[in-house]
Amino acid sequence: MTHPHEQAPASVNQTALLSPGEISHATELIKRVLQQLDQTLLGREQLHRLVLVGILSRGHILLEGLPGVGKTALIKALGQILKLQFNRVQFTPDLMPSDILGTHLLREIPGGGREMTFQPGPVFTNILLADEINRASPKTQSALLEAMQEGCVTLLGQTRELPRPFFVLASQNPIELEGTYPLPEAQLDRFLFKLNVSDVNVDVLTEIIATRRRGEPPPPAEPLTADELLHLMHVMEQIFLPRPVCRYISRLVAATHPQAHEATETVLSYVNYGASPRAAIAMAEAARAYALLEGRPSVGFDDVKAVAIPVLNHRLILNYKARFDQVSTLIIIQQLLEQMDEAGLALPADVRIQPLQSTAP
Amino acid sequence: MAEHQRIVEQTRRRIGLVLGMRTAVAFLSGWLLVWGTLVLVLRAGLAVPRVPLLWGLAGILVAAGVGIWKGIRHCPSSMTVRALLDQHWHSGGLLMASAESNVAGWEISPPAAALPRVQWNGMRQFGLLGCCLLFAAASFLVPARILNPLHAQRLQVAAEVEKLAEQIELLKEEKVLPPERAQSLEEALKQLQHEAAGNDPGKTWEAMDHLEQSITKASAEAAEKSLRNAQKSAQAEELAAALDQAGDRMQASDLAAAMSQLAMNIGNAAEEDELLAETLSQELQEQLKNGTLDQEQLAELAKKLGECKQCNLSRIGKLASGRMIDPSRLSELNGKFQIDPDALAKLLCECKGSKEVQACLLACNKPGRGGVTRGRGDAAMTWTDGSSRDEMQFKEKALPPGAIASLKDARLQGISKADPTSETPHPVNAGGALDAGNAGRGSARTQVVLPEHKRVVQRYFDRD
Repeated sequence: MTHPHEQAPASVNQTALLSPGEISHATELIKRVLQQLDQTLLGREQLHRLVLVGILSRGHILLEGLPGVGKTALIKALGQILKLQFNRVQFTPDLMPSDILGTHLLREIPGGGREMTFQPGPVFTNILLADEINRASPKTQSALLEAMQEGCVTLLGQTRELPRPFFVLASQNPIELEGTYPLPEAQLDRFLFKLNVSDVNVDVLTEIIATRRRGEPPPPAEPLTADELLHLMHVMEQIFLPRPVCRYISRLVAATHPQAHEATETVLSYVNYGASPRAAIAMAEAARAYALLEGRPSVGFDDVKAVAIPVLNHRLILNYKARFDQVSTLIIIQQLLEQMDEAGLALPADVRIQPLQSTAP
Repeated sequence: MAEHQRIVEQTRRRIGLVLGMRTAVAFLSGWLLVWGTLVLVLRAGLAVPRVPLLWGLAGILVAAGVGIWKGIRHCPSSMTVRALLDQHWHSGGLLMASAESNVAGWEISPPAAALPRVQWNGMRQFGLLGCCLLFAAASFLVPARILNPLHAQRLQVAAEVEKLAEQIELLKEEKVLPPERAQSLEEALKQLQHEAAGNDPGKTWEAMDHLEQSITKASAEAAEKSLRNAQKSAQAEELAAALDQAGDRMQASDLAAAMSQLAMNIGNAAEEDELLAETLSQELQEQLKNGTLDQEQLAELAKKLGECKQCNLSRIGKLASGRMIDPSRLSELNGKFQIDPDALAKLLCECKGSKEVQACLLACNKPGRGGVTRGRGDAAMTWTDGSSRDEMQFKEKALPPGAIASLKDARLQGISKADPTSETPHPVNAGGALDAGNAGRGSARTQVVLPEHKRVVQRYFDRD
């Protein structure tokens, strides 16, 4: 029985998975980072995992939450743990692009002459915290587009590389929307994740009050060295993404479009525009990082499901009917994940694969 | 083969089997539906018997085979099945990765319950298959009289139609009927066979009687014509043979007169007999007209006239054997056209002068058995005993088309040789010139005049 669409698998000896030893070493490093993050911000384990997934995927993260929930603290702690340069920019309506990117200054040089010298902006760093990014004007927001996508800044026809790695961790406040500018879709699409930072429960609050004076977190005890970070990035590059998982990601992203044949009922009813190909790429990278977090050399379907919501939730453009029916992107994505067959068997409706049975003779 | 690889293949086979079965059931249902419909259509429309339609059973095997093949073609690939099992086993992509890369150092251990169960809820498809099966069976079992009541009541006229077709073919071969007339008759016969309905046989039989009557009429006319031609040919043959024998003993004037009479006889015969006109060569006809035939040519002429006579007699024979004319007429012809040239030659030699020759030959052409051996036409006739009434046979005659309808309410009372009698008394004329006469008694009461009175016949011949 040969299937017409079956692709010949690549030679088994062509690529080799990471060895258990390599994976376990990387996993140890990740656990160390996570442990320190969890000690810094209490009660945010899942958020920390996703932020770390974003960092390992070299993606930008948009954090959305009420003031005072620890967004800035999280990003600061991450910068300290990873020993990366960290800049913070408070976005305001009067912030100009040059305030972020930098500007040319006319200076006198020894010998009586004058020249234009470039004064780098806060974007020239490893981690840029764009606090309350939606308060800046679209012009200023757009100044980050090239930096986020290309990792460089072009001013007066001269392109300057940003330090590597470069991450933008932006935050925005879902309330007090007066005087804010919603992020354009092009910029939203450049964020790997959009994570919701929610309130903590009473137990966590009690723990914070009891153990922290003025809420100041303890400094990280064992930050990551540059070599360790590079090793993590290197291991991350070698996480294997099987072809069926690639196909699952593609089908998932395609199904967010109302025109797709696998689109669910909610997608058909409430979605105007689905996710872009950039979303599929982001999901693949994030799933790789998630698999590494789980200590596996290859990506499984569960890894994709774990990162699907933060990858897709800011990329779906809903219609007015969704707002009227109070349907959020979260509901749409969850339904998509529930209804889509991961393996893509495309079996008829009356044929089902039931729970496993023993193969023992 | 690794354990997980074996399970992947086993799962794939199971899925393929279920899909194959599913498609086969769908194809079987489709075929049974089509087959049943075809059976009904063929049985109802064309009255095809059941046995040849059983060949459709072979289609069941074909449909099942094609269905299984198509189902297996839609079986998922090994990689897809790996993905399915990877998800079920929570292998985190290792099972999928094992197909594409080296997983040395990593152990893929299938769980104790590793093989998924492939379930097909095929109640609907099997229900549909059952319905189609019942439909196909019903299409065979339903009686023909229900399917095609018209065909079931069809009048069986095949034998009669075949007989008439043979007769038309014979008439066509013998050139009795022109081709257009023969074709129209054949078409009418075909239409008659096609439209012969059992619910109204009267129409069919009437039409067939009409057709048969037309054929019989044409045959009788052809037979009469052939008889006349044969008679004329025989007379001319006899004269030609007699002249051949007595030509050297006759005077030239007598011979010329006889020749002239012969040419006239042949001319008359050739006017009606196309065969004779075709048989005689142009040269022979010219010399006959000029009266310059020699002995050898006279012999040849006699031979050809004899051939024409035989052709005409043969045609009558064929018509009789085809029962298109009364076969008894054929027996009547036995010996009727035997020629006796010796006697005629002797008579011609005895004639003195051309006038006597002409008178003698004219007398020979008169009706009556005559013959020079028994004297001339006005010689006394000899008769055998009178014919008996008991040996009489009625001549078969088809009733006119409307006659059957008029007899619709008639009832058979009995069979009698006597004239039919009316139970109701005839009204008696009350005075008048025709009182007590037979006038107005109806045609059925007319007396049959039998030819048993010699004097009546003699009076007929004495009229000259």
